[in-house]
Amino acid sequence: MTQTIFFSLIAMGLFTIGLYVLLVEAHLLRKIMAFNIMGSSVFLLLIGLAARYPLAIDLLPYAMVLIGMVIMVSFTALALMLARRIYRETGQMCLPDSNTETGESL
Amino acid sequence: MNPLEIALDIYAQSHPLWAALAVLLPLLAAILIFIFGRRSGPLLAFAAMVGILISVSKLVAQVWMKGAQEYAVGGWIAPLGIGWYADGLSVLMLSMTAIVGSFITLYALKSKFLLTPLLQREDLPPVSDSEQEVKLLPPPEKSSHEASSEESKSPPEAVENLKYPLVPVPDEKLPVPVEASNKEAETSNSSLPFDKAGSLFLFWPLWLLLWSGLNALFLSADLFNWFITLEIVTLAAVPLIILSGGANALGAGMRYLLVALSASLLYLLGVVLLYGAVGTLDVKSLALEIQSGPTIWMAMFLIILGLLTKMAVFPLHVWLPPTLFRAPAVVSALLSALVIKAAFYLLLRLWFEVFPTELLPQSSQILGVLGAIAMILGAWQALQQSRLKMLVAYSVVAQVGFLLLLFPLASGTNEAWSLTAWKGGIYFALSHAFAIAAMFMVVGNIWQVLGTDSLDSLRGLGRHYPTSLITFALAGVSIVGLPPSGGFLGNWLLLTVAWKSGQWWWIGIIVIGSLLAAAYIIKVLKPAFEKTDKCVLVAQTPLLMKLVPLVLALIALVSGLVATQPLSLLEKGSPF
Repeated sequence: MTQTIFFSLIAMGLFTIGLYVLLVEAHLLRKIMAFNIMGSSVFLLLIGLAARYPLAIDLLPYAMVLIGMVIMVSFTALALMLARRIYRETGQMCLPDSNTETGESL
Repeated sequence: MNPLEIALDIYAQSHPLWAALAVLLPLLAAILIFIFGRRSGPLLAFAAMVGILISVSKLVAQVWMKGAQEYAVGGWIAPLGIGWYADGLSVLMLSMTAIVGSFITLYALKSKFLLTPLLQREDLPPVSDSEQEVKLLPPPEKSSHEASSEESKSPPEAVENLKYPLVPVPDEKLPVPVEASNKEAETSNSSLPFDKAGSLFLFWPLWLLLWSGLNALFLSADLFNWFITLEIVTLAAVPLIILSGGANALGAGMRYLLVALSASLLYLLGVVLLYGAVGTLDVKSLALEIQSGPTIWMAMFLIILGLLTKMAVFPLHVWLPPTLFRAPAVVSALLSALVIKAAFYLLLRLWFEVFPTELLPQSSQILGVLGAIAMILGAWQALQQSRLKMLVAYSVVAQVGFLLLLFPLASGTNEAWSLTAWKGGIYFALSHAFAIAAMFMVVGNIWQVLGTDSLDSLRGLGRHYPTSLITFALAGVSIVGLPPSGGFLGNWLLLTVAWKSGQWWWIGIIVIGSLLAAAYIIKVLKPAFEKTDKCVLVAQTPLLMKLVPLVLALIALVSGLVATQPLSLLEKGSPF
């Protein structure tokens, strides 16, 4: 059980860091990395949950992590493609309309 | 039994195949388009549309005759397999998607809709000595408008300005294009970059994938499956937004991707916490076994936060208007009519069927307050806009706020009133989907015939282009909530419950919201029906593009008159 709590705490910390970076950083690559960290932290939490019973391993979280990874990979690919095209069109790696001063970078 | 009932009974023979077809047909058609090439797009989409209409009508008949249905997909029953489930709410959402989706498909068959944002970007000469000082409330729109009008100047200057889009210019007069000149808009089509024009056929497979995802979402009854279907919808929606190409559309698509994905991850985190605490993801077993506690509250908070972001509820609505503005008109229609309703549907399901009831009355008041602020702020910002499409986009923010009033009104103690509020809110969502889709299609038409969507250029348009403006007015009737529209019925049911259950403060909010909605609709219609000959049409629209939104707006209008059957359908398998 302590293992599960340990992994849960780390996962929560990583998720918070990811969300913070996603909101604060303007650079698109950092944003893409940030949501990958958020996704990975959720997967870490799931893997930690799989070991919450001392005698048996819960297999369902593994399936969920696999599906989640497929989704994250597709999103990362799409986001990288978009970032590349934004770079080609505007010559910079941040959202064209973004206004970071008012905190509305999303 | 009369013959009609017997026929309906035969039609309603239950088989999982029909539920599966609603999801599989669009998926299959989308893949086939890539095999048979771009010319097959419209044909295959039309075929998938017919198939979906048949299978959804089958599902409606099944639920109507036999009550809520469960489908064991592949023969696997709930704890092992992932069952599908259809009750009144889900088949109503499915039919809403099918109806709006069919009209969107028909509209897209004829239109050059995808070109409209490009027309505006490249071809309008800025008029520097415009008298009006345009004030836009939210800073991002200000910078985006600036960028878009700067772009139409010489290219190096535009690039120069784009490099510093972050510097807010407080009191600058924005150049507003007043009249589109005939010649320039005509050259616009030839000046399109070819790869952008050539990739437009991708609308068909993407739209079919999105439709398939939506149908799967409305049929699933499993929290993780909802995550997957939400992601399918988002993955299909992002490329749809950027179809027209250009830096602004790309930015809007990227912003939508980041917002939607982080919202989904918040939702997923909540779902994982629920799974950790309860040990199941099936909606029915979860509802039985859930017990409130700190973990559950945290999970609820994360799930609600994620879904509210997807719904674009105040204060998480900032991403919605620019995205709707930059997307092609038909994509804005399906985003605002269908994709937002998907998150609303999930919130409804989880709120009333899964979450433990102890905290809900208090927290529903918070949701209601957010909704009220969104209604008033959204409508107020809609009134400040100088662009028609932005105005309609902000009206979506306001109407989404209206949807949230369902939660405080239906979370009361009296079950009969809760049921009435539940019906009213869902019916409002339904008619809003029809009305807003019609409205965005009209915006697309107007943009096409004028070459711009600035409100100034609408002056006198009613004389030259009456059909679309009448459509706008009819859809506006439903948005405002005047009789006999479906919007009125939803309003009326909610008002009744607010009065009877003693939550009178919502009555004032609903009335103010409706009045503001009337104000921004009139703001569009008044100049349009002015007597002036200044208005110049630069293009024509095919008849189908004018008829489709008209019929859709008429459906929104008469849905208040034929409400008995849908409302009693909602009672099948309702939580009250």
